[in-house]
Amino acid sequence: MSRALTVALAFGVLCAGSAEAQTIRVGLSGLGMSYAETNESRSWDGGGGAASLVVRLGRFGLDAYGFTAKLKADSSNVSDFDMLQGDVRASFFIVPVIAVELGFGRRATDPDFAAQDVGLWRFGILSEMPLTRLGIIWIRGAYLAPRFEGGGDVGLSAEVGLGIAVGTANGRFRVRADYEFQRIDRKVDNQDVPLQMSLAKLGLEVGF
Amino acid sequence: MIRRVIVAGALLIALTPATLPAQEHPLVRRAQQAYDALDFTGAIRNASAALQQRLTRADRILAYELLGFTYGALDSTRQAVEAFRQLIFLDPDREPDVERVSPRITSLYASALGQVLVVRRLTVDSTSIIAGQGFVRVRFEVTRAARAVTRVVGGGLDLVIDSTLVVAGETQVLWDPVTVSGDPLAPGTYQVVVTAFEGSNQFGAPLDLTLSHSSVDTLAHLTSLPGYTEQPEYETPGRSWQPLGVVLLSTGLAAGAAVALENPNLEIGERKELAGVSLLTLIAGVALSLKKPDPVPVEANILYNQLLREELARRNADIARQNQERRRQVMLTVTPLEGAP
Repeated sequence: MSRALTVALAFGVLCAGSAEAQTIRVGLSGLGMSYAETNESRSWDGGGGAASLVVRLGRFGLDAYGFTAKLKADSSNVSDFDMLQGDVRASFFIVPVIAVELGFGRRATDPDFAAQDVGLWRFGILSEMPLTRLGIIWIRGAYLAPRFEGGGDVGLSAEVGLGIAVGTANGRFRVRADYEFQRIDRKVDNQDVPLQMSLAKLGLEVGF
Repeated sequence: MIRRVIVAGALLIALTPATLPAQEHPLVRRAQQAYDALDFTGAIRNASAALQQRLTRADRILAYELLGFTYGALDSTRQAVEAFRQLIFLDPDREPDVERVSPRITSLYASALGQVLVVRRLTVDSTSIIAGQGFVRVRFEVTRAARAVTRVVGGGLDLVIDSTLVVAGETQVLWDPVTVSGDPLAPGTYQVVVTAFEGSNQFGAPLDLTLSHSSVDTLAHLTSLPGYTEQPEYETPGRSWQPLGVVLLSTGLAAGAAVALENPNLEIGERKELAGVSLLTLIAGVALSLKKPDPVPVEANILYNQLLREELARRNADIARQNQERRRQVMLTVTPLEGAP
């Protein structure tokens, strides 16, 4: 949790220079997630909380969020753990509703080695479409370039996102729901040890 | 008895002025009676004798007219023209009634008119003008080519407003009733005097008039431009299902991609995260589609209204300037006096 907040605060400081930005939003969310790795016997479900920061400045955008979740194992063979993750995405809108995204993320577990820690770069596309003056929907997809502390080769790695936000006409308050799916194929000594995460968040944003 | 006589005498004296204009000199009356009785010798004798007396202007005019008519009836052209000349000097505007007088006499009158220099039919239109921004028309006729000098006299002023050579006939002079320094003439009674000069001959005709001051009406400010109305700057578009369509498309794409990316070797689970967020997006899409759309600004109408308001403001500024000017102006009303010669 502390890492996630640190990440969020760090980007808040980075964006402080653009206080005259068109939009700055901070938000808090509750989340539910599923996580699986290696094989069908290693899967977890759980929930937690997340903090987010969204900045839109002209054609540039920045999305940062961090979350922590307590995951309970679906079988007795594996133990429960806490997951900490931070993600940052910088975007540039090439047309009003389409942006290219570049970002990075870091996922850690507590206790250590309860699940695979991952650091990754991402490159993708974001499509953000206003529905009316009150709402906006976005979808995103990205290619992932992960790195593992334990080493290993990387196969198909990608993520998909879907989100919607509905709020007041002046943009001051918004209810935000979003979904993320992440698949990372990893091979260690020619053995498949894939990772997969499915995450849903529902929260409130305040715009400035 | 004496008291009654005094009262009757006082009454007679009080009524006398009212009946004086109707009275004629006895000789003039006799000349008129002789003329009516076709006794031309008697008419000439009485009229000539009357003219030797001290007559009122009206009696003198009537005596010369009777002489002119009588001499005309007797074919005494020279005497008739001379009598008409004297008549014209006395009353230049008097003319024989062509309906009642024979053409011979009217031609003799015209002949006399061509021989004398007089100013006739001096008139001034009743008019109201803003001082310095208009003119009063002074019209008159001269019977011969002459220099006509038009003056305005009164209120301690004697202003020459025109001096020009004119031919016989009607002439018009424009008079701006201001002083030499450009200030409006003070209200009061004035006399327009037109004097015609021809060699050593000259003839002047006066006309009395009054000049009054009043303030100039100011203009009302405009609240709208006639013929133009402001257009609505916001219009509510019709209901659109586009939000739901976009939600369906986006959700379908994301959900399809997520399902396609799932690793079959791992626990897939119930996809409750995907289902939950998809359901929320669909609900939001339906709600946003059903909601009455917000009014949207109409740029063309906004620009149109802006132009209208700017034009209105410009015109009101002009009106304000004009009103400021009008408050400093004076409306002059010129009215010829009744019974002026």
